[in-house]
Amino acid sequence: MHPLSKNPFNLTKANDYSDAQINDYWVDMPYGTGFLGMLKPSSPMPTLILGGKGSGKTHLMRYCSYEIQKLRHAGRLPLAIKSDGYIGIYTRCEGLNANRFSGKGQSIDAWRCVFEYYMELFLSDLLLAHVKDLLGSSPEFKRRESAFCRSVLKLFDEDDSEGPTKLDSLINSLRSLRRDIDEKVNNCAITRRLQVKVRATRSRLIFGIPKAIQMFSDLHGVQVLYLIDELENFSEDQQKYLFTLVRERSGPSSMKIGARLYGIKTYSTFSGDEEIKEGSEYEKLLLDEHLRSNPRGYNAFARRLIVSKLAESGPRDDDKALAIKADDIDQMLEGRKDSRFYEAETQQFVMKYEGREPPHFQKLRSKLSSAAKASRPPGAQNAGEISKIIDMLRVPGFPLLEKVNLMLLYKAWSEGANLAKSAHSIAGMCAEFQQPRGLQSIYGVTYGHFAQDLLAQLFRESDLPQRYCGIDSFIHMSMGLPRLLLIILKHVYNWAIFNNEQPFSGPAISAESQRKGVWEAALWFFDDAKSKGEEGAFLQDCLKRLAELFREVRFADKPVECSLCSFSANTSKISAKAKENVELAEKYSLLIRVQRGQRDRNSMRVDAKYQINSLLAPLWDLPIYRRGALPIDTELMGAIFDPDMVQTFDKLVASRIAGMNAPFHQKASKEKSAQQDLFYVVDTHD
Amino acid sequence: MKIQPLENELYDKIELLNRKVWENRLGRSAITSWLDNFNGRCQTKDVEKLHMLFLLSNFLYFGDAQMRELLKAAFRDLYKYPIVERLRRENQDTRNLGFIQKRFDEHLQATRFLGIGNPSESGCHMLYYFRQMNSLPKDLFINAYQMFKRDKRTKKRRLAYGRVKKFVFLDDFCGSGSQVIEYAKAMVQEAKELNPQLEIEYHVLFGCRKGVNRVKFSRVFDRVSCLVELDETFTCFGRSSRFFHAAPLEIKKQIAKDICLEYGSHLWPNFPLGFGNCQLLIGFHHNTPDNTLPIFWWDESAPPWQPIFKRYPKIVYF
Repeated sequence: MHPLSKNPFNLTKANDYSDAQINDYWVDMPYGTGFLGMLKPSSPMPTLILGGKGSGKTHLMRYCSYEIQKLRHAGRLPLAIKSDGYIGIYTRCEGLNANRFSGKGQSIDAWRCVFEYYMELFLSDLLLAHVKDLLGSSPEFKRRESAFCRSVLKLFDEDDSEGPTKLDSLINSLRSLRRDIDEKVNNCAITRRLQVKVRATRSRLIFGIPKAIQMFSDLHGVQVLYLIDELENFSEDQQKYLFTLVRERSGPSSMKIGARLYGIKTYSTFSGDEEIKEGSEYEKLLLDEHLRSNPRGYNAFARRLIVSKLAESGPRDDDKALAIKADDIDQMLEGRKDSRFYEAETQQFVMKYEGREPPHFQKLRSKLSSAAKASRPPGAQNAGEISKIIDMLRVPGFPLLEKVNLMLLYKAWSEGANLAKSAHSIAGMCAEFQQPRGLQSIYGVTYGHFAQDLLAQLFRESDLPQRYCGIDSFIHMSMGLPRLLLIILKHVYNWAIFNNEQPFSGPAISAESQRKGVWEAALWFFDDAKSKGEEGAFLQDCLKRLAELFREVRFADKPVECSLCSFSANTSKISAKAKENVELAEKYSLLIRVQRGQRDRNSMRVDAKYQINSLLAPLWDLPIYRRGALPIDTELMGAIFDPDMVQTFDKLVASRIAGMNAPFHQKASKEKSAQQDLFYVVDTHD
Repeated sequence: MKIQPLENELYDKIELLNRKVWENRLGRSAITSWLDNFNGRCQTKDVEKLHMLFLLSNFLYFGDAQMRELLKAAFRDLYKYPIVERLRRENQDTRNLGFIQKRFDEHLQATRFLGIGNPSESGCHMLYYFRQMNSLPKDLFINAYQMFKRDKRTKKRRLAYGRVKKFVFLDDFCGSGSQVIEYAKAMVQEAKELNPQLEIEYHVLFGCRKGVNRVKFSRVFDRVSCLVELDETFTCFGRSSRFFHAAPLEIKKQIAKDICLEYGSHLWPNFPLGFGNCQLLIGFHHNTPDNTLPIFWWDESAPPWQPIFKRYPKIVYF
């Protein structure tokens, strides 16, 4: 078998997993209450599970289904169900072909009635089949089967005392009724008639049967948990029906409803069009946000997930073994090399420019030479002075320190300082910084904040690849969406095989394979995470513009923010269209909202704050870890997100960036007031 | 979005092709070894390697699954449908499936399939899969020598299968056409002399248009059919080459040709751009035709060369 066909990360969608795989790949959050603690399946409170694509909603919901309960508790049923406190009835909205229940010349009311009745039959069928499977062979069931069937039949509008007394026959009767509806609905487009006799009132079966099953001692006190996944496939009216059930919930039953972030079309109910109330009528579980807000727990969970995938065919590991193996993953992927002032990371750069002027000095020389003819910056007015400045800023063998020196010089230049004197002072600070305890100095603060950005500049200026590698980076880049992590690893694995490596079984996967893999995953995500049609294409363009703005700032001579991949904006002031697109980007996980927002430095108003999804970072050489946030004004927000204002984007960006690049022609005062001082870096990393 | 260097883009494409189409035959080390053949004899090493990487990213490869599907298509489109068409035309466009099937079966029973070349060659190699994929009985397949037998009484050669009305020569690839003509001409002529009513056809999966036309015009066969015809756009350095139509700016057709000629002349002086100057970039699961640029497949002991899509040559002992 070719190693590629064994790629353990090939399957990334829980829908594609078999029941056994759902059970085998189940990994819980190692800290806190775990996933089941978040979902609370035995709690009567309905839950709306919201999350981006690949956040694990389906896996979680299927894990609570009766099919998986059966696997999990093999040999211990039905006692274990009683101990769980619930029996899970899982269904996907997509499987119902719910879009059949509309149009075809029929009124909305007619379709509503038929759909509600169909759902009653469908969910009842599933529940009764599970009850039969669970209790079918127990003596008590055989004794009370007939009485149970009678109590179910009583739930129908017409009392059918002659109805089936065996559960199998009852299930068959329900299926037959459903097939009859299927036939009439499917042919309605041709016949233009919809003559369905509705035999049960809304919610009578769905909430009545759970009460009826309490007559069996094995199910007494057990809650029926309806797990309804992929709500986004229901129309607004159909969602309204489901939320009405949430409101009307009664007896030993509850509902957990899964949907994508953009999947909720309404919160309204048929109870006087009132919306269901979060907190009192239902709880909301924002799955990926929850995972993101607990980075330590998510990291540990993600590592265990990888181990469970790698051990696909082997025996199941217990929690302790999983944790030990999870720690080994670091060794399986080549990571960043720890060395003083990134000496090891920049070795390739040093070798490339041995005996040659490195590009950052070439650029400085060129900029100073041009400026010498025009604005004549003090201290750098001829070739001799320029060479002296450059010589002072050299730190052989440590190009990153040279970049810090240059950044400080550019800052001095922007302030109109004497560059020769500044270079002398910077060289002194640099020498001091290299001594022990140097990190405390202003030079050390600059280094601490901007080292990663300056490293990225070094690589970019010398056409060396940026480094997106190491398991922690990948976990972070998945932004709480485990599927993204699996997709990154799938591509990394493919590239490692292509590069003749032995991923996860031989030496560490090379940085090159990781870089290639993550690049492909990023391309895939950028293409996948968008809505259809023109709206989706425009959203992609918005993200491109935003990322380009971040890139311009990151690679400027004097970047105003470090590790820039987020922005803040007063969204109450931006145009409706721009706001709509920002929200859409958030729903598709292209932008991630930072919960606490960002306090505006001038007005102290709390603005909305968003981070570009870290998985997109490689496409524009952006950082993956959020630190600084760029305040974006209303005008520029419009140029990025509003289709009517995009033509102003280039001009606005050029104006914004001019103050960050030598020779700093932009009015320094305006820049200074709008942006923070170089050394006043708000560290918002959290 | 960041623009990748061309080399990276080409590797991306090659990795994808390798995974999806090339049956994972290559890996980075195989590509590196192959690129190491190009030592800067014609252009700088970097230029040579980039151009060769570009050619590799345009290599057309047909794997096992594709070849099997093509064999199904060959039986259906080149053999079965023409017969069915004729049957219907001769019978008032009948739609009687039972009738058509019965008559088609009669035709099939009166047909024998042969490979081009001896049983060890690719034309014959195809027959096994052709039979498998089309669920055909094995007695419909013969070796070329079985076409004739010597009459015990008269000692003269005669056709071995008196009831057979059609012979179909099956081949995987037709480049210049010269080999098939050379192989079948005498045999077909003898068979036709013994039974002028015989239909003898040549069916080939892939063929260069010029080569296929050459076989047609040779009139050796009653009918020549090709499943995938490679027109002049498949000639790598031809005027209308499809490969350089939208090539990146760094890639120049003349430079690529110069490199291939330089190294090709060293490898195979008579045909530096492939047998019959076909200049193809094509390979199959079972072999690479010699009409493909030799820089891809050359694997002889002298001069030493590391192939990327190795060819298993016919070795002739004299």
